[in-house]
Amino acid sequence: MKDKNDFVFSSASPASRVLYRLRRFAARTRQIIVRRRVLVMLFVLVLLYHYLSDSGLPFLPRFHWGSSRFVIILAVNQGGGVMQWKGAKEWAVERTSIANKKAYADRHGYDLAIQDMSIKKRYAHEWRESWEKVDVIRSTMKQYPKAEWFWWLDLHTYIMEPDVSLERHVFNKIENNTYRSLSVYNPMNLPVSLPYVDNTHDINLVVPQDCGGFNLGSFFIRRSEWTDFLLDVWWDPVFYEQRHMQWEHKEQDALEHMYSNQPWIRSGVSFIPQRLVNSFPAGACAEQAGDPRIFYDEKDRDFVVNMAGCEWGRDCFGEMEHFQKLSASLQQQNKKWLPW
Amino acid sequence: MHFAIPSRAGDSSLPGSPSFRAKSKSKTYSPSFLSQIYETIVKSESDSLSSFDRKRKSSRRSAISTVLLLAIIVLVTFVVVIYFVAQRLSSVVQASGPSIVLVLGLDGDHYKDDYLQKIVSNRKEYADAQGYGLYVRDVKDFDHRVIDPEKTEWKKLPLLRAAMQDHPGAKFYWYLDQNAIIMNPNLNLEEHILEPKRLNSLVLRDIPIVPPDSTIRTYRHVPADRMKFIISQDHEGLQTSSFILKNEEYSKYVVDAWFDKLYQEYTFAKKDKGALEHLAQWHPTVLSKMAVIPQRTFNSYPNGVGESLYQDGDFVASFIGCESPERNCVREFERLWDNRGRVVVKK
Repeated sequence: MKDKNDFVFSSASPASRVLYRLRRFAARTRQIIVRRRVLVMLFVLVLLYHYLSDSGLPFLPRFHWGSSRFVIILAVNQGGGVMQWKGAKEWAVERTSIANKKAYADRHGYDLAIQDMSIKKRYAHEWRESWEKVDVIRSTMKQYPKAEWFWWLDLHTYIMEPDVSLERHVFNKIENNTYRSLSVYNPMNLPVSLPYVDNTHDINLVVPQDCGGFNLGSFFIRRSEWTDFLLDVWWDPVFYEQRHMQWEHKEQDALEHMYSNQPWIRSGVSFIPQRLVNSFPAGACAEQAGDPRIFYDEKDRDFVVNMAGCEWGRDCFGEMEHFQKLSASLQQQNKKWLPW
Repeated sequence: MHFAIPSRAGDSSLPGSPSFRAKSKSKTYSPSFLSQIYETIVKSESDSLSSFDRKRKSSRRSAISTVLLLAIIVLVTFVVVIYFVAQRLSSVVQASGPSIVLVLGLDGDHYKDDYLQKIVSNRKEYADAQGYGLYVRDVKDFDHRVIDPEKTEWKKLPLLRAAMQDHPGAKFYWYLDQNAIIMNPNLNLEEHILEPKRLNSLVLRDIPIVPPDSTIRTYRHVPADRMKFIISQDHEGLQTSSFILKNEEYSKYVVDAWFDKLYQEYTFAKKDKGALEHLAQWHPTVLSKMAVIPQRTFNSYPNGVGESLYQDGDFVASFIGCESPERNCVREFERLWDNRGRVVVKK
């Protein structure tokens, strides 16, 4: 047949026309496989990579060249064993936490900065003690000059859902996922509005609130002029002299003070609902047991658990083990058979 | 053999016209010969027709693609032009209003009305002559913002913030204290201070923030176009009776941080000046954008000594601190007021 339409529109029977079509389709496919061998091989490789690897990647494999937009700052070695002996359990907790963050960072192509928080002489005699976070963030920003967002994580945290990427979870729709105004949730009863706050200002600090105020165990901070200023004025000797006896949580209280008094801070701070990046286990914030905004919920598959305060009165090792096992079993349920 | 060549409409003018009939009474042609001819004809016909067709098709295709390309170019140009026009328009809208705003706070509780009126008229004369804006408020408006309403010097900060809010399109805000007179209203602020080269020549580098020998000194190499806070100092330290702020985020940060409750409550001997010196010494992000210029540029003292002594032709004469017992505000003011320069109207 010179013209394929000749046959299809001829007077042959429908069955033979269908058969003809199928034969042509098979021939065409064989033609593609033979002629476009490279593409077909790539396609097969991608499918194999998805099924055989444990990466849970989206359809295309991710290659990570250059530096990432996100840096995870993991604070380890809190105290450095100076005030308290670090036994086998403490070391185990540290190993688990670090391995968890490493796996997460590798999966998504983020950078991981593991920062040592041992007690240093320059913070001795309470001078700037507990303001080390600020210095660490500043030095990490210098180490990663191209990164935009820095995610601070305390040691006693565990990323429960490693498939969740930060872009999709928070940053692609940052205005929707976070709230700027305390009228939404104000556990510390800070003043709700101040004059001269600019709500169109870029968001440079994303911080969750727990039952006792701002929680700096898991928060995001962005490289900007605002951030430079904040990291500079966060510790001030006049503030320190007047308030450090009252401020139990030092830099957290300093931030809350500045947030209540200085409008420029409000312009750049946005709050994220606690359970998006900072769920608590049942032991923390125990007075608020049952509050749906605070505690880790397995059914909702919360992203990160922050075992805040486990070193005072609770069992860090036990909690870390529990969440590690829980996360592993949840990931088992996760395995889908289609790549999309 | 009979060859039935499908005929097309209106093609009798084409070469190889298919009006070929194999019948001829005089000759009989062999089938092979006829088939050869047929093939030649068909080939030439298909060649010529299809080449013509191809030309037509290709010319049609190229015509379509040209039109499409032109349409895309026009669309893109249109979008780009609209975008830039919109940007220009929005920036024009934002930049409405004067580019420099003078900020003045009047203390109606402690000074007589006619005195205050004279001060306002002095500022207005200057602002009108130079095309600047003037923002005047009574400092009583800010009593509820400060910790202690008796401390008037702190009220300049919420006043400045209000000025920034009300004049968002300005480029610079010049705060000049009430107890000062602009003696030379013919000096244009841009030429006199703000122009980057001029500012660069004025900036005092490597001088102690708190004379005579504070450890922290002004920066040596920061270029003047990065400076956003222009202030002067006398023999005691930074003088906050006359300073200029650029309208950028930095200025909002500094004013808000300076105004913090804990600074107001703290026992700085020099009050707001002490707080600013503290900020400059402890926080490099503040100091790095601060330009300290010679005092007589915009803050001369008529009763000063040495470098700060007012001379004829100086821009501003400031008699702050005249409330102290050994001085007399009224007399100092009268002497200066009568000697002040007036605007020279250019013909």
